[in-house]
Amino acid sequence: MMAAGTSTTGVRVGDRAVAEFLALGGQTLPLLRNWAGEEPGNGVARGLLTLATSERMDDRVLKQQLVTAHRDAQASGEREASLVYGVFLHTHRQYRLTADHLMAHFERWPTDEVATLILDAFSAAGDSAYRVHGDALVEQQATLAGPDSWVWASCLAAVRAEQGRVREAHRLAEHALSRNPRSGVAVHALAHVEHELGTGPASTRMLDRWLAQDSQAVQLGHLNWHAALQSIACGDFADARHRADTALRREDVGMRAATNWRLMLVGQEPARRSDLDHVRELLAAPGGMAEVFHTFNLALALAVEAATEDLETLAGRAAADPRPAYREVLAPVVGALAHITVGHPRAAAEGLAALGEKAEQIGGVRVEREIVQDTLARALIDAGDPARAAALLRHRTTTRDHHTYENLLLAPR
Amino acid sequence: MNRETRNTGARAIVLGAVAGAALLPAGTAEANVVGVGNAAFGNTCANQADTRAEGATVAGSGLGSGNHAGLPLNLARNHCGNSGIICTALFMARY
Repeated sequence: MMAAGTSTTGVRVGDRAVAEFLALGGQTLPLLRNWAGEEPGNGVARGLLTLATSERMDDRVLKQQLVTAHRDAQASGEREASLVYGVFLHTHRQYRLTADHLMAHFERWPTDEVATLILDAFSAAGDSAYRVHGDALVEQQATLAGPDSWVWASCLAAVRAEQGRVREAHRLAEHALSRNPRSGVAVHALAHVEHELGTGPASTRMLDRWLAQDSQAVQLGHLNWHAALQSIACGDFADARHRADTALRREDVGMRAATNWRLMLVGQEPARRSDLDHVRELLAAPGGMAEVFHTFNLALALAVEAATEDLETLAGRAAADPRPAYREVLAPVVGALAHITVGHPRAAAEGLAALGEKAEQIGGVRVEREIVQDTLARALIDAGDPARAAALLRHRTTTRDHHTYENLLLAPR
Repeated sequence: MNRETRNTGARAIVLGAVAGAALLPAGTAEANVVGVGNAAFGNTCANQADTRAEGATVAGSGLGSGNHAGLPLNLARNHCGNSGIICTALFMARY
């Protein structure tokens, strides 16, 4: 007779659920539900299911679920209780507290792979010091875990990709995928690496092959977005539009805008656009301007719609915001977008060029932030300053295999 | 200014958040906490227009004074923007 929670393959449903979640696989939610259903008194099961579904929960239900999960987890052990505590902080979007908690958690339970599910708290904390500590933590834990851990190898690959150490990131991602071909974190890191390398069609084929094996993969839309960027890089704009139109959902306003703005910068037709009223609603909603990178993404959506007045209003609100990233970075970036929509590239170029490295404070990651550089390059060209534009993109045109997009950005209209 | 960011005692809550933290050498854990020198409360994604004073309520819960057994239930849920999936938060916007 099989023990409760054990499948016909002999692997406990909890182990399968955790492995699927760590891989961002398409069966994550059904497996977590099975696990929590079969073991209703398992605090970690309830906690992870809550982590995966918290965005759809109201505050009261979220707290109820986690109170129960934490009570049950305490009965199981200190590590379990600590995990659920971390989930509580993360689902309350208290990312600095989550990150601090993780530092202490890993001190007691080194290399705990389950805790990597909330590691994004370090980057979400919105403080470069936290990001640096998070990177160091991953380096340390990956070393402790050793090469057998595809989970930690995947995490380290992501860190190295964001640090621009692309060769090392590539090797780590490939290694992680050799240990677990379904590691979503590793394939996502690989997508970032291949963006930096301008791999083009080879990257889209790799992503398509990987996604074809799991039509429900958590990253289906996002990896298609990465593939769309590769298609833009090599000049296959029809493919980029097709991916945006088929893989992105209505709520993926940021990825749709980031695809369309790139297409428009090089004079191409955009894919299906977001509804302007929807974008306005998102900005006006509670927390609509709560995070700088999301706000920037919504500004891109306004730019795609040439909503100049909305952009000017948003730039004004950002300029009056007490947060430095809003006041000093987001405001001039949004202002530059407004200038472009009315055909004033010189003003846009002046505003963006003055930012220098402060542009990084717009948030997001390298691939996502690159669009600011694209916009500046286009503005410089349109303002009659091709030499500065070419210098700005030289690191891309000289290192990326496919850079048709960059060539078009640098071409006079 | 976001009132959340003014609570300098919150770090202690986090240290205590690890179950059984009393078993930890306090100095060891503290040396590894990122929040030293930073306000432990608050994120860039906290809703700046929200006037809730989580710091005060949490401190008032007793968690900061050594009761590490429970969750900080008075902790508010921040707003963090809504433009869809971004690279660093993949699963959160998926389900």
